[in-house]
Amino acid sequence: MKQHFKFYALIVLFFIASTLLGASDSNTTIKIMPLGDSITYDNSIADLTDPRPISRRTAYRSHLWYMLRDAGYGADFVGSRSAGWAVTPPFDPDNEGHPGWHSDDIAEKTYDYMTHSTPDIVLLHIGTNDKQTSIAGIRTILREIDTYEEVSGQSVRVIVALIIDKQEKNNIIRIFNKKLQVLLTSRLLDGDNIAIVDMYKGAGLITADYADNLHPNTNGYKKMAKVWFNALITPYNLKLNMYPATVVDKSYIESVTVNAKTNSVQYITAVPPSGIKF
Amino acid sequence: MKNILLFITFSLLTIGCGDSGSNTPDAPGIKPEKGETKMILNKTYSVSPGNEVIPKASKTRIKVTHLDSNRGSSVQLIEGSAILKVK
Repeated sequence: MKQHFKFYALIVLFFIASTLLGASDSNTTIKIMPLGDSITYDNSIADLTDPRPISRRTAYRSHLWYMLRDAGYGADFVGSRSAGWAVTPPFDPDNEGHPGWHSDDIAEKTYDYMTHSTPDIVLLHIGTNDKQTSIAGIRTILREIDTYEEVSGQSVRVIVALIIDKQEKNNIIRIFNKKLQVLLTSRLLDGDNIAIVDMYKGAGLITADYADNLHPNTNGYKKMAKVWFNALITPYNLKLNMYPATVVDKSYIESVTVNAKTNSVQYITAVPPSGIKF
Repeated sequence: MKNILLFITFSLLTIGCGDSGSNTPDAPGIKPEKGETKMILNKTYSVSPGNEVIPKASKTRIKVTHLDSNRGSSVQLIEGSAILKVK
């Protein structure tokens, strides 16, 4: 009888311990670098003439930090800059947002940012100030991160945003995002540890979500935070990422979307003249 | 006490052994018959290994949804013209 009691008690303890250990996974602190321009730092056009205190600038970062905290994830935002330390409730104000910077400017400093902050994850939203459709700057940023990974032996997951439109719809940004989608899809199909987030259409920003022609207001930033959040909590599935390229040559594939919840991958592809065999 | 422990253990085992497939349905769509089927725009067809999509227009695009763990794939014609070949 005593032996049986011990046996059942051990089984119950095992399940309780498993449950607690499972829960503790969500308490792991991850170093996340918000990397970009004024849309990351929080600098509106009005701030150029009548600047708000830096201590109150948050952009999407505070909203994202609260979402992660509420979901039980300890996020350590990292970067050489700080903005938003006086808001309540408090959040981690560290970031790598540089108002006015082009993607080329960020690319020049990317390696230094990586070695300085050693992030596990980078949230990249850059290109609004480029005012041209070339994505060369982002290509270089990703290469710089690759180099950092090779030299340091550290793996960095890069979550790259198709950037938000301007309040007045902008054709340059539309083409920029289209090119960016092609670059990122190609990397994804090669098994790169990246994810694409669609801030352009997926964040659902409407005219009322902007503080000016370039920058979201609080509501717009909340929408952006939700998109980042969903990407952050989606597990990386290399097998699904690479699957489409096993069916059709990757040069024909336009976009790839992995849905970790349903364990599925959806891709849009042109059909080559010889057809596609499943 | 023994009964209580037995009940808790059984309950936990039952929860732990839930049907993991309940949220992971097979690929949706019409199952095409053997031979050639002319694909209709935006209609979803389920496809199996060996099935082929052959384009009938110079610019033909499809949307493919692939479910992992051998649960199949489905395909939608979103531009152009194509036939689905099932052996």
